[in-house]
Amino acid sequence: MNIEDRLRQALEREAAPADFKRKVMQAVPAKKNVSLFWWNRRLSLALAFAVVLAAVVPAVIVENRHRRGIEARDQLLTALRVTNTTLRHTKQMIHRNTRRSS
Amino acid sequence: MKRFWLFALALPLAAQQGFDFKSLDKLGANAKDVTNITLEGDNLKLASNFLGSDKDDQSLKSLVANLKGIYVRSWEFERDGMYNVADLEPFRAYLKASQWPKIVEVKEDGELSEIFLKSSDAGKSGGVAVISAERRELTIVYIEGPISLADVAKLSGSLDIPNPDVLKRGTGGASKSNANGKKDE
Repeated sequence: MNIEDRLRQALEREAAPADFKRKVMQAVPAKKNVSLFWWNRRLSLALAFAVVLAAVVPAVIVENRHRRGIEARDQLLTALRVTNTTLRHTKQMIHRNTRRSS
Repeated sequence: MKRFWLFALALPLAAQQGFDFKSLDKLGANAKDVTNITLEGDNLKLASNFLGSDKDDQSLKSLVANLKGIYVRSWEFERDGMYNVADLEPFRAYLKASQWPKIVEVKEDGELSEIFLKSSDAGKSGGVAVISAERRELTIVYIEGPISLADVAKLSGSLDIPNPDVLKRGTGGASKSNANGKKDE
């Protein structure tokens, strides 16, 4: 057998095994399903996180603003009460001084 | 002498920038109770928005509507002579430099009360400041912004101002603090 025949024999087309096609078809969709599952799961988690964030963040902002507002209002009322007391005290001192001098 | 001129030159500039209330902190070094309130700008508007809708609250709302700032410093002491009146001088100097004339000064048994009114146009004052120095209590009130004499009279009259300690049950807290500057809860 010369080199030409040996080469032809080596490159000769061989028929695939009978269950080759089935094995390939089994392997491909299985792999595809796994990656899709993981991708879907990540997307679902991200969506759920975004929904929770969208619900919680405005509520926290509103609550924080409300708390600051109440604190500021209480400070304002305390300031006005101190002012009122101080001015009334001054007024009483003026009245006493006026009475004493007249 | 050089320091005096530097101080004298810096005073009008400081008057334009607003008074630094931290310079009064030393007055409260021996205080038993400290009330320290600073309300200005957005915080003052926010406070006003949280007032109620009844007649008294509306009256307070209109009173503070155009104000620029409210500053209150009050110290209570356990014994007489626990603060130095001379420490008030920077505040008095600021008022003088900013053209807040003193309209009232009353002295009685070692107590002193002073009222300063900033002159402004259109029948309104540009602000009111009060210094009340009692034996065991020292209070400074500084209200900046257009305020009518009627409002000042209202503030010194029997104005029904709700007590925040009563209001805060179930809401927020007033800024009454102890000598360490911590809030009383």
